[in-house]
Amino acid sequence: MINFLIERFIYCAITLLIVTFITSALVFLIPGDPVLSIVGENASPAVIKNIREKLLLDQPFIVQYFAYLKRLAQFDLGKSYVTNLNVWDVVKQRFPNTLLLALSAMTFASVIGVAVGFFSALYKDSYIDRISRYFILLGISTPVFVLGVILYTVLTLKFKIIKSITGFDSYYNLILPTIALGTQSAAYIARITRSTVLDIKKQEFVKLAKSKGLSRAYVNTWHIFVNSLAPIITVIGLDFGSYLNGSVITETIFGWPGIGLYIFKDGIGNRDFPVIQSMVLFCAIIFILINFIIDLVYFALDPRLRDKLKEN
Amino acid sequence: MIKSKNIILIVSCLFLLLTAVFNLNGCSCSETKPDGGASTNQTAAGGKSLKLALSSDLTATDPALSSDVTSGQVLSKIFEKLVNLNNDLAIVPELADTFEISADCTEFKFVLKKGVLFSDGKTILNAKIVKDSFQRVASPDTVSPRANIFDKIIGYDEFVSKKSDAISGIAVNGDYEITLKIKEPFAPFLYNLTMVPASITLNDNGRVIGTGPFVFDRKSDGAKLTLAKNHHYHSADKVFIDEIVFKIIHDQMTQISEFELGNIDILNLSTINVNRFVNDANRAKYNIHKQPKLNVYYIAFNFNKNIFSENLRKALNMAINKDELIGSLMKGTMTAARGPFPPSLGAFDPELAGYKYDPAKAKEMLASEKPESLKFDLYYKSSNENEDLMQMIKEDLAKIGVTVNLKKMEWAALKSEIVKGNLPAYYLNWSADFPDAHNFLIPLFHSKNMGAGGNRAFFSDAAADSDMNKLESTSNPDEYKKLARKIQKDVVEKAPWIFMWHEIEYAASQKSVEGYDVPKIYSMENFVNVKINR
Repeated sequence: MINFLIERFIYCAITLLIVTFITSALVFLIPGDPVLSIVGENASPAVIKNIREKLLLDQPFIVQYFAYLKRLAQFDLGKSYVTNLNVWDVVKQRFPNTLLLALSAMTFASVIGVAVGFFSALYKDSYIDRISRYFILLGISTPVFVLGVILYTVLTLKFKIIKSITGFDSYYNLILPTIALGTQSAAYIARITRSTVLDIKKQEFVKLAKSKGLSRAYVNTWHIFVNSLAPIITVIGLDFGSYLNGSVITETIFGWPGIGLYIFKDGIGNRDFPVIQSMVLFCAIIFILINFIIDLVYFALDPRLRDKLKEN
Repeated sequence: MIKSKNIILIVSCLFLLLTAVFNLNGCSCSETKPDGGASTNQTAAGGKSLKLALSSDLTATDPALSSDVTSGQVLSKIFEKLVNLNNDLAIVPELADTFEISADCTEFKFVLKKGVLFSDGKTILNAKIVKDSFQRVASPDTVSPRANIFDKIIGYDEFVSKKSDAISGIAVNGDYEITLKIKEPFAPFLYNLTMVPASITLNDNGRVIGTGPFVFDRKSDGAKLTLAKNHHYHSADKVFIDEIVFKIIHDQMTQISEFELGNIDILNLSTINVNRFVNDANRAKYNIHKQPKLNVYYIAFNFNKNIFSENLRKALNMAINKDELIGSLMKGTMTAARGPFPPSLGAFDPELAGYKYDPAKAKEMLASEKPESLKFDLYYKSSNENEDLMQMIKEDLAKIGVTVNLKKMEWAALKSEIVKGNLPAYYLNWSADFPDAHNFLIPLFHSKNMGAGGNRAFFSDAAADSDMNKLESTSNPDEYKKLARKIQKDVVEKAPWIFMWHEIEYAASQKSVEGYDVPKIYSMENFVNVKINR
């Protein structure tokens, strides 16, 4: 186990170093000048020169890159060029919002998706299955920006069930963005669950369990459901990882102050290099962490993997 | 031994770590109070709250660092300047009680209002604070994007190069008198002092505070920020609002829906949404406001590229049917431009003919042009508003035999390419910082401002340059206006742009809002005298 952890840690460190290099190089190469975002429309050359010097933007790429690495080594994500705020302070303020929305959307998606997929497979070709399949297709093919607008038009503007589209004052405000963000995942999870359960239903050990006279509920739960979890967890984990990196469309529609808006509007929109570099790195760390957790969950779920690791 | 128990332990540890780092305490709705200070400005329960929408978050909470409209809109409610603009766009004293200008227009003497308190409730405004405040903006250590608004003052260069620790041209006489001396007459100098970065600020232990009608109550959490009434404001009896809540909503449709739900009190309408509100049903439900803005939209030709002859530029100016576009597409939210000056500008020249729509004549003029010059790339910022418009412009130009390749780009990339001089022609706009002809001529057409300075066409004309230099030092208002009009006429004659239009801004407000009107310049608006009847 220790060896496994050390090996993973070294891989992560190398991946992250590559990420810092690629982001810095991209940031250096993309068209757009952060100084123009800072100075506004009518700037004097002396002011531009002063800002460029202060931000090291007059230096060659390699000098800028090593200055960035040096900062990182001191656990400093740097300050935004445009707002002068420490990037880490903004992350600390906004990441909990992103995490809250991601958890909420993922819980919604997992519960709905697994339930729909599971029952749709158990009662294959019944009405339940046909209706579920229709909803799965609809869920997968409806983009977030369409669903978001439909949701608030119906629930807020038309029937006034929810008082406000944006806002952040009560957990009520979570409902709309959760459904908007989670629906597509729910549909994917339902589809994966359905096909996995259908596969497992045909397996010999299920027939054996049934012929042993085990109750139907017991077989469904302990033989079919538990064994179909591994691929479902993969989908859930990957979607959760991407939600943790911010969901810019949902955040834009519902005015949700997560890190997606921070990366796209503040970072990329203004060419705010420290924000882009640090946030890409942060998202990479989150993704690696999530993947690591998924691996651990696999071990927990699948005794064969545990044995294999023990042999090595 | 690997057991599922160990794995659960590791996952729990990771989660605990995450919890510790981000201090997840269940509710993410925690808001940050700025350290101390604002505690005296608590809004009484049930106080009058004005709710507004912002399309983006603030980039600055310090006026010295502000260069964008959003930050300026918010900061103009917290900070005041020595002088400001009134509704007729004339310069009037704000923190100054009176001001005098010397006969040669190089000395500006301000006598300050007495007894003006900063929002800390302790410090009284004095001349030394004003001097420190200006020097803070000018200092290269502050890295203010607008440090140059003070560069005409004597001693600025020595101060910036750190040869002197004060700007010698700012003289403090006693507690309430301050004189600014400039190197040579500079007509728009007082206008510079009406801009947000020229606000009078006090550095209160690292926190920048002001004397305006409101103070920061809750800093932005990315979703909203709140200003509370400043109870130490010198005219507090004219402030009828207890707090202003700015909701940060990036999406236009969401803003409109929130307004219709009554969650926003005042809404700025973009061109494509005006029609939704300016109809009879909505006129009865809401107050609709209208204000001609001080701006100009144009298609600039890059003079560095040398691909557009004067003849071609003039013909292109005659080829676009602006009135038709304004009627059909822009729904009357624009006024056709004849030159850079908008009609609400004092120096606007009603006699300037400009270029009339005349496709037949334009086509005739193009007969002498080489066929390869009748094809060019036209760049524009990618946005909902621009899509249909650019298509229609393309069709208009096709009618006279000019082929345009439309190229859309994301704004930051487009701006940087334009400033570098890499693109041939582009659709842009310019909004004035202050209501003076200077702001529509020198940044846009003087050769010293090519590129980032504002002259995006890289237009250079020795005669116009020399006239503009003369304009800067002209102090007689009549002569000033005459000269400004002459320069405008000469520039229009050279057709460095296709002069498109000037925007009329529309806003809708709830019936409960009283005394509000769209400001002519964003930095004027401070919500003094605005009431809410709820």
